[in-house]
Amino acid sequence: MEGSFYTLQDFMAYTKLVVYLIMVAILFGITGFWLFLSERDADQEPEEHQNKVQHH
Amino acid sequence: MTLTRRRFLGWMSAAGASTLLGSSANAASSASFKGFPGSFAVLHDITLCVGCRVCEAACNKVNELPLPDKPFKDLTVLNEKRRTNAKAFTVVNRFENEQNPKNPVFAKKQCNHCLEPACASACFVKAFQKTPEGSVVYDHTVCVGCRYCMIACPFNIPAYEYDNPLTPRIMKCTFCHPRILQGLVPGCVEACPKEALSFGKRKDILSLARERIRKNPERYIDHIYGETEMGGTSWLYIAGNSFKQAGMREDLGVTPAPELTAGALGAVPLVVGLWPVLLTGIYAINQRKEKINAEEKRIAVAEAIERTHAQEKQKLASAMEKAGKDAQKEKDLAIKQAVKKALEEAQQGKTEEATDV
Amino acid sequence: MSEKTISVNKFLTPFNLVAGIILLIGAVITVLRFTQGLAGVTNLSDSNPWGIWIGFDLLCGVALAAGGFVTSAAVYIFGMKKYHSAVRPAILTGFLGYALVVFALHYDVGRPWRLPYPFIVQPGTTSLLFEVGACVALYLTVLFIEFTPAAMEWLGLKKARNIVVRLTLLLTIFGVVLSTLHQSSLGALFLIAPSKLHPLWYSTYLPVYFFVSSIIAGLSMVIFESTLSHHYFKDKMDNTHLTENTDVTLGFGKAASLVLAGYFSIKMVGIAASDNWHYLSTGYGLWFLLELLGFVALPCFMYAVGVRDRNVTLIRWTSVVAILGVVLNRFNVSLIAFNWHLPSSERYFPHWMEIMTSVFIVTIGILVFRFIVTKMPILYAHPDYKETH
Repeated sequence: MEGSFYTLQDFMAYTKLVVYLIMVAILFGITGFWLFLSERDADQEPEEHQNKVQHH
Repeated sequence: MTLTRRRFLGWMSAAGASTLLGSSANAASSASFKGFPGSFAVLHDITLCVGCRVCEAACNKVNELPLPDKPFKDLTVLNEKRRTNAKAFTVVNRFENEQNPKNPVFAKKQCNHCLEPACASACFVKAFQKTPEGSVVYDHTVCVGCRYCMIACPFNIPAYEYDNPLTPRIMKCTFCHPRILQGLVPGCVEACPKEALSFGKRKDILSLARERIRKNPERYIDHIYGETEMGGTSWLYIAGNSFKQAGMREDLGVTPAPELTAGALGAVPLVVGLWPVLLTGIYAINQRKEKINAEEKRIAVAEAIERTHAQEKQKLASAMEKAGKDAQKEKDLAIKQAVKKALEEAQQGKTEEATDV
Repeated sequence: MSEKTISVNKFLTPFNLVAGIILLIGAVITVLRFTQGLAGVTNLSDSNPWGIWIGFDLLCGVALAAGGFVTSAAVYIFGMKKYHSAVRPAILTGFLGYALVVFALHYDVGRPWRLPYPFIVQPGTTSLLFEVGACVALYLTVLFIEFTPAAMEWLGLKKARNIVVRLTLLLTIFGVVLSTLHQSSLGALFLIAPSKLHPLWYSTYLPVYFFVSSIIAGLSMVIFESTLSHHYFKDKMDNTHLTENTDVTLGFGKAASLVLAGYFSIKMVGIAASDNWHYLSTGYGLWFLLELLGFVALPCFMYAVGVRDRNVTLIRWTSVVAILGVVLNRFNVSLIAFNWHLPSSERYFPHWMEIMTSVFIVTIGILVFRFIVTKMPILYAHPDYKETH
């Protein structure tokens, strides 16, 4: 890898670009993951409520 | 508001974690990057400069810059210290010679075309590029005009067209990149009448400088300015007095600009990856705590209700028991009385029978 | 008198007149800026490329708008529900603050229409300014979305409003992430110039200092803004806002006191790490001590006393001191301790037109704030929407 970059500046420009793209992917990933988790919460809510009612 | 230990820790770690992340994320340093092989450099021998300003005139002509108010032949401008500006890529300044006041020191100043340019590191549109030939070139077609490069340059070289309302550019020495590509030398180097400027491959220029110092130890101080300053530059200097006397900063250090910001840049993706985990964790802990609190509350209420019921039940039971006891008492009493009455009646009957006979 | 005359007279309050004059002057300066260049309206030079449009409008503007992420994090992530009434005013202040920062940048950069270039033409990924730009752009979007429920309630867009409200936690998390990044990166901008910033202010901890002090600024601005709102917009506040206010002031004052104490400590660590104690006895050293003792240690103590004695007035005055402290710090890093090597003849002082431009921009912010706060459910809960949190 180091062979193709002659300056630290060029190396960092390339690696930071990759990192920024990964960060964008992380942000989208978090959004998707959060929607996935909260969907399950939304499904569980009526169940929990039913359980509560039963135990009374 | 109760500040629980957990809440405090949550705040503090969320604020202070980057302290730990600060300087460790620096996988590469310029030591592992050798620069473009065969890139060019210039040696400026300050002891040879006489302050004639012919280099300034040549630069002005080659770059088609507007002519200054005072002509280049006018040496009175040397009475003041000048810096590069939007119309002058290079300037020559005169300095006091403390060792030999009769021979003032003259030194040329221009972009040093650093091996790891601070301007390139700072520019957020990548308008600066270190070329294989050694020139650090500027692309005015993408420049937004934020002037961060001017903040970053430790040598205070980039100048700006402040009086241009709509198309202002950064102005700095180009190392005559177009000329170099054609196999020519930079305009200033060609024009210098005293050969104070020498052009060649960087390693050759370094050898040349070392050779001059070795051959004339009483003439030069034993240091090549630009060999390691800010990670190394393409314009190298040798001088008779301290470089400070020639108006050059000696406290810049050897760390190249990209390394100065590598730590901060390295921490950025860690925040993006870990903060959501940390914050969701804090949120989940709080949710659980609230849930437990709500559950405990519910249990407490339920228990209270049950206790009240139990109390009432007991009250009722004891009341009933009492009522039962009272009823029993009454019953007993009634039975007693009935028995008594019966006995009395029986007794009376017997007494009557006895008197009848 | 006719109805029209009465409404016109109501419009011409002293504040509106002054604001109007400021807007007029601002318009003139705008024209000058884009016909004569920066040279026509600023004292910027080749040695001083950044002036108060960066030092105040950008650096202070972003720091003082930090109340948005601080308050929403406190309420939605840390679950401190009793501060809920402070969220919408803080988000609004944050949104307007960042929007005005972007607006101010259009005056400062040479070719403002090229501001999107780093994202659509050529990203300078090694630059911390790229990082600042990307995060500010994203965060402005997040703030805007967080602000829209208030506007949608005003416009009666119930369905859209409910969709956005469900995103609150996610947006809050993004807000904290993005704020951490750009608040710290504004400090990191100066890492590249160790030879130009005085050693007492230059530190590898600059990003941490800027982030921590932005929290202080955010907490203090919420207290300050609520003080002003309570004075000028009391009639717009509902009961929740009025009753929660004391809790907000006390709670945020306590938090600010703690963060100021932490900030003070890490500043000491910074001096020790570079062995810079000897600088404290110089002129710049005294100025540094003024910033550290008068505007960090002092408000820390004042906040603590105010919280302990439940002295809301003291806390309110302290917020002004704390805010001035953050402003002073940003000025020091970017203007006063920056270029400290240069002779005084080459040092920078703003042109009156630069100052006027900043006043103009702040005035626009106040006017928009006033409009939104008087028309939309910021200081009160809209009757159609029950508070679900």
